[in-house]
Amino acid sequence: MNDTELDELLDQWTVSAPSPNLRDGLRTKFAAERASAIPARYPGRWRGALLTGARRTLLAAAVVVIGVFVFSLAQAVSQTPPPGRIPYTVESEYLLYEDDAPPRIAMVTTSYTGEDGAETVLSRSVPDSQFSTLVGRKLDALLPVWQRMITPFVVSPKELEAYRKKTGFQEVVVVPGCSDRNCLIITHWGVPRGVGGTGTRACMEGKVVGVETILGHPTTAVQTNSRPYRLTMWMAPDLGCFALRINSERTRPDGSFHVWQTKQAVRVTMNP
Amino acid sequence: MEDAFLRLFDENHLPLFRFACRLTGSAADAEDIIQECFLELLRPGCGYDPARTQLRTYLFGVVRHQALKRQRRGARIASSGSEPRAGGSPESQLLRTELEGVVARAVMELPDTQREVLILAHYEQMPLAEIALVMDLEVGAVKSRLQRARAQLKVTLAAYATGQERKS
Repeated sequence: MNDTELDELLDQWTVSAPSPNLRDGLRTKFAAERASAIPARYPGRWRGALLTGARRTLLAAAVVVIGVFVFSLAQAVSQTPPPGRIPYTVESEYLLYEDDAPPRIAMVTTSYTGEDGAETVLSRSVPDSQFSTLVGRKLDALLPVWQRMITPFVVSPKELEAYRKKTGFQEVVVVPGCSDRNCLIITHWGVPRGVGGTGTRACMEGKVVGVETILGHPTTAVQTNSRPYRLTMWMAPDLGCFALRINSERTRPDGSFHVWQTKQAVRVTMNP
Repeated sequence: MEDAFLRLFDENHLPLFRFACRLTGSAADAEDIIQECFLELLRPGCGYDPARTQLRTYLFGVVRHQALKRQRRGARIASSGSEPRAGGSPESQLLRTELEGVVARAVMELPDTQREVLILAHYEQMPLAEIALVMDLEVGAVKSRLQRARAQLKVTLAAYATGQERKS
């Protein structure tokens, strides 16, 4: 049996429409849920009785500590890009080239570039490694928060403000790959946004090495050199300068470059 | 708020219902699950985070969890949620209904994880990356489960590909 025959057979199994009462039933339950949520709950007297002396002091201290922590966390999280509407998503595969081994898919991501020019990873996974996927996702959530929490202690507000003014919206941030072979941590790379360019040249400053249409989107390949690394990025202006392909190269001891990681978009979904 | 909630329901409930129906094999169970799924959004502990997940993906995940919960509680898994449809001669309709039952049974007999992937990929045409999110798996695992499910179905349904009827 071939795939088409199987698909045709599977299509034989259809499902009847839900009962017209389903909507009405949901509406009734909606009203009930809202009503049950309204009455305020009066705290039991026993709670007050237990909170005496030292316990009350300890609880107050704990509340203060938790409050400070939550406040710091909220401050950190509030600096992440607002959810807003996601105009498109791009599924990308990251290939890792290791010595004497064929390239392998090290990571699969779904991401987009927001109005601030930063690529935001919505989801990512490490094929055939549930552990790396899980740890990677946790680190994705924790590292930026941690970074923002410690920033006030390592950079003065004045320096931070100067940096923000300097970069502002003039930077495009891409995700060229992973910082380790298990892809536990992803890397971000900021490049200066192109000034005065139009069309396919609008994305970033640098040496233009080619023009190509990828998945229906015109891109300009621009190279940026920051030894020992060299990145070539195919950026699509109509996708907010999203890099649909990235070649990451590293220098060998003899000074020549060799490809280390590549990113390749495999699907673009508009208005997901 | 009620209008917005019902609009959300109108826009999303059909694919979710189909998914629930095929997972549980019962239209009645599927309707209960759909109601639970949407009411979940109203509850204070709702884990939906628009910054991390699309609503559709989240709702499919809720349906999946509800179906699994029912299954663990020993709820029945019926053979098919379909009903006879009008059209065609009584003979052709009978054959079609029988074939539909055979296909439904073959899918229902797949291991849970393969069945879920197959239903989302084939019947809901969901991209593998989104299935991975719904099932909290990596894309590679989704791919391999889908391949295994399809390979198993090709064996189970082999007799029906050539138009032969198999006694079951």
